[in-house]
Amino acid sequence: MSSTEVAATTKKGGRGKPKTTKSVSRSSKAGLQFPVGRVARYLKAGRYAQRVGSGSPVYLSAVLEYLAAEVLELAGNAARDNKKTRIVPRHIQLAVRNDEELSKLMGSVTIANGGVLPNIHQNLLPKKAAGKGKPEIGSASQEF
Amino acid sequence: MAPKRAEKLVVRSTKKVVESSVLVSVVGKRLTRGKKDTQTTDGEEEVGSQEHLVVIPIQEVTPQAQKDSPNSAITTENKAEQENNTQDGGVENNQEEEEEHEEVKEKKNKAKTPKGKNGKEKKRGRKKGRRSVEGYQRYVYRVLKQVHPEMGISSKCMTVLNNLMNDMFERLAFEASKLKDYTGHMTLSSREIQGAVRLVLPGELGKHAIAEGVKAVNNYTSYDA
Repeated sequence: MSSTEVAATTKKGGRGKPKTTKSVSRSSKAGLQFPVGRVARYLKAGRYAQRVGSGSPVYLSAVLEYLAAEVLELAGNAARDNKKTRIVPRHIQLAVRNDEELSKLMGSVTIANGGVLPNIHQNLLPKKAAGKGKPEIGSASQEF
Repeated sequence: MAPKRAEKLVVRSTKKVVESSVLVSVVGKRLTRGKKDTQTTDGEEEVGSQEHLVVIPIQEVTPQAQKDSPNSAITTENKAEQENNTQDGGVENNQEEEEEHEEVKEKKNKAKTPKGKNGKEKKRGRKKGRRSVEGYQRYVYRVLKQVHPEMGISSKCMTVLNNLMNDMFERLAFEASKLKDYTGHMTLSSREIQGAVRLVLPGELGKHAIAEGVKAVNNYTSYDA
């Protein structure tokens, strides 16, 4: 279960020094970028359960990595649309609020320095002025 | 048997110049309140309920040292202040130490207390290393370079994403813990995490997250060293 298990293989006959292979992290075993060992430690330290299985930190790390990749991809697209090469909180806000599922997931979240989506309600826009020569249809008084 | 109550020492100093000597009477009183541990300074001697007369030769000292000389027992608040002073560690502490050293040279020979207890010695040789704050910053940066290799990210933005990861971790772990309690199990397995993902993440987001999690667990279990 430890992240740095060392497999020792000895020569034929059991003589000589045992060859130790290089330790491999659990993140690389699962093919992830996010830390499996650290997530496992957080799960144990948070007292979410008396015992923590070996698969749960791997699964949780994969989910967190997927969420991070999703947000970063959309935020990078928003930054590229604004002709910027560095992501700022405004780009994250635009990415999250324009995506339906992420907006639902982060509905109660406030992003610092994020701003708001550009939105003006239709009723607040000025009405188009009617032409001078042409009378409006139905502008006459009602007949009872 | 009840523990002994600590004694608070009250120093009544009466100075009479008789052939260049000073009579100092130290009277011990019992405390009726609390169990405060008192710490005596260098010049004082711990006494019971009896009086001691100590003859101390007079030396000429600076007026600041005379102010410092009638020190009574150090309370816990003063002790905390002195510890703060040692952490700051300025030149003033060293000057005070030298002045006190001249005044109380003979007293230190009687009651040798380690310098650390006085709180006047500057700690040397111990550097304050940078405290390593754990977070998801480096992993978020790796993922960013996977999805957008040419993009950068600001520090405020990284803080936002780090907080987002912590928030999602807590949501999923708390939901998985509740599922574990409902089923009556003691172990938090990947099955509970999968149920939590289904409940917390909406729609297609949850389905894709489950697919990623299952793939990672399969890679992990089928890994060959």
